[in-house]
Amino acid sequence: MRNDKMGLAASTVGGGVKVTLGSAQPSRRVRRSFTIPLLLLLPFMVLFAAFVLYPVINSLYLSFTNYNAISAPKLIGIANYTDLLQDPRFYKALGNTALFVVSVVVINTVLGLTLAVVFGGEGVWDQVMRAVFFLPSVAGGIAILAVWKWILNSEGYGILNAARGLFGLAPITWLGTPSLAIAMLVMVAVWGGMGGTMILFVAGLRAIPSELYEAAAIDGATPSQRFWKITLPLLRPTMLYIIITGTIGAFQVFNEPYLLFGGVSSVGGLLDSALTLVTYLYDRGFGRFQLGYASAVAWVLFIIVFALTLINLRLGEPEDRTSE
Amino acid sequence: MNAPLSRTVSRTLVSALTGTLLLSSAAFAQAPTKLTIWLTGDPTETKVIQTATDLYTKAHPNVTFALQALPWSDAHAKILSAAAAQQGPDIITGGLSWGIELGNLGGMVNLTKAYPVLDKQVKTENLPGILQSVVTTDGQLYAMPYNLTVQLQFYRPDLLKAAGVSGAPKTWDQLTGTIAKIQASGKKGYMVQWGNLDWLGLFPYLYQAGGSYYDKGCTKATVNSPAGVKALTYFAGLYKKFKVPTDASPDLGGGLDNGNYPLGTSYSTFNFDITYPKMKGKWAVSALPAGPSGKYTGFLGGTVIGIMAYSKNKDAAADFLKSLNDAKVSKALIDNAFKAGLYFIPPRSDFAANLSLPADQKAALLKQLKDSAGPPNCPGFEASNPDLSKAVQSVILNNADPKAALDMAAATMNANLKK
Repeated sequence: MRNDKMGLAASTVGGGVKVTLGSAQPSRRVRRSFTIPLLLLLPFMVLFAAFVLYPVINSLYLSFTNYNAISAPKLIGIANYTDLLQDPRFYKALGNTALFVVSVVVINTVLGLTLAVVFGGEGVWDQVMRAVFFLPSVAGGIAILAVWKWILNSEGYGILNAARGLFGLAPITWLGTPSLAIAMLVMVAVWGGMGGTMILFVAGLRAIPSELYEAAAIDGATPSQRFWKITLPLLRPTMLYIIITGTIGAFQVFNEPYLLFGGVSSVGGLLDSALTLVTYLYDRGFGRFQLGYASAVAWVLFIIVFALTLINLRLGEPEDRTSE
Repeated sequence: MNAPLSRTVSRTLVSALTGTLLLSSAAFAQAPTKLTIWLTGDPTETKVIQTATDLYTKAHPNVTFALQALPWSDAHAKILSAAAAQQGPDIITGGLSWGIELGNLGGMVNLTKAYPVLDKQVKTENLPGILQSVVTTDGQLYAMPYNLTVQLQFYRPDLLKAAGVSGAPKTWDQLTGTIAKIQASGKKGYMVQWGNLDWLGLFPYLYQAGGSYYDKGCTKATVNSPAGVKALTYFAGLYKKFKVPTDASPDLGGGLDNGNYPLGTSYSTFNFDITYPKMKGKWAVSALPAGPSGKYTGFLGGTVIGIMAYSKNKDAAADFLKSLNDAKVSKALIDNAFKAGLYFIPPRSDFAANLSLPADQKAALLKQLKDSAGPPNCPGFEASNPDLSKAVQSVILNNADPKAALDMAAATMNANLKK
């Protein structure tokens, strides 16, 4: 099975060459068939090694040092990791990030799927609505966050409070109330992300053969049954992709908390209510010159994301394979 | 015969060597030099310093400048990156603590050791309140003060009068009394723009109560002293009793302009006439109210200027820094900044007296400068800031006990002192 797969790959690239894996010395023809693709891949591989592989490996090394960017790094063993495990701000950042990730991934997936089901058609209205909901994904970035900051301002010029004022409601300090911090971050992230999720689900929905729905309808399946028994199971690969990429992206959240809540001396907002792992990493690394410690935070973040991705992949496997 | 000959040869050699050295140093002095300066702050920073760089280039035609402004939010990281890469600007400006922070890591030139004349000049002429922030505990100067910002009290005399108050509050009791009267008159009250809900906001109250963050020798944190508890209790009371806004940086100018907040504190800005033209002539400024100790200390902020350790133009950079301490250059900086609608406050009170301000505003500024202090120079203070701010916030937002909150902050400060 493995050999078949590899053989297929080789024949695609090499123009019908069959590869027998396990043979000690590949034939000259086979070696030649790999030369050109490898040469073509070389520039990418060099850049990948220089700008991804080396920094990643170097950051692992730095996580065991006291590197401060100016003096030469000194090995300090696992001190950064043991300090990290006793650091209350790290746990605060971890808790905030976990809450943010779960909220964003769940809400974003549910809303994206709902929008895809509602506006997934071919009609003009559906196309317009899809464009409207996708717009925040295109227009996102720093400028949009500045607009959000303006909307959420608690003074007279905050649009949200101005709107509340029209109904005689008292203003709320949206960005100055610790219990609202994660909710505000989730709102901004979901607003910016659900349009993109919707588009992915629309593509997934269109890949489902219509015959399945027709057959189910003939068998008397209700729309609800068709959704739960056909749509959702067949959207599993799309959903898995959305959940994995969404989880990784949400764990790396930086712009939103940094720009909405960050100050010069503290990046986490009031009582560190909006402190996330990456903002904390940035603060320790670039705010306090503790790049060794920041590297340790980065590696803990990597391990968490890696583990969660493995779990997601395992859970996302088809049931027949899971039960094997 | 041999002795005079060898003496002659020696003299000739020494003369030739001296001549060569003189010629080469003259040539070095005349060699084209380009000094790159990164200025932390908004883009107007380049406009302000250009006055000084133009004057310097006029006197030293071989020295030119490349100026670049960096926003506060990015500057620290960018300067660190430059220090790590060993290339970038020759000179930087930045927060008051940055000189010590970078200098201790070897990223900045030690002015005390490399340029003792400049060091002595700075230490004898600059305001003591700012020097205590930029000189290390063992007397080293890595970056000299460049300009100042000081906390001041801003108010609307007309609205205070309408609330039954004559003039700005001068004591803590008067402050709370005034806020109560303002709120009774239907206005929202009082605003803290600079240092809202953080350690910087607590700073003036701590000093006004007779306290400090550390003891004199930086051997232990003293923020949890009875004076510290009194200061935090009073500061938190302003928020809890009078609902002072808790936004990250509330807009005092807007509050004064629309009348919702006729009283508040902020950094030394004097351009409300330009930013809020309708308020022209309706606002005033004063020194902060005095606390139980009789002190009316304001937080002294600003920026420092120093030379990066990797710079290949250290001598030229140091000579430029020296020129900033010249009275004429300082006056030119003040005047040209003013023409651009900006206020440049030099780190010397005699120079600050040249500011083009109305008499009452200048009097308030100079009075506040007399009783002002910068952040402590104790090791680990920067790293302790989040914990100090957390203590302030937990008392204000979560009703934590001020003594317990400050004890926790002090424990972190003490731990950071030893790192």
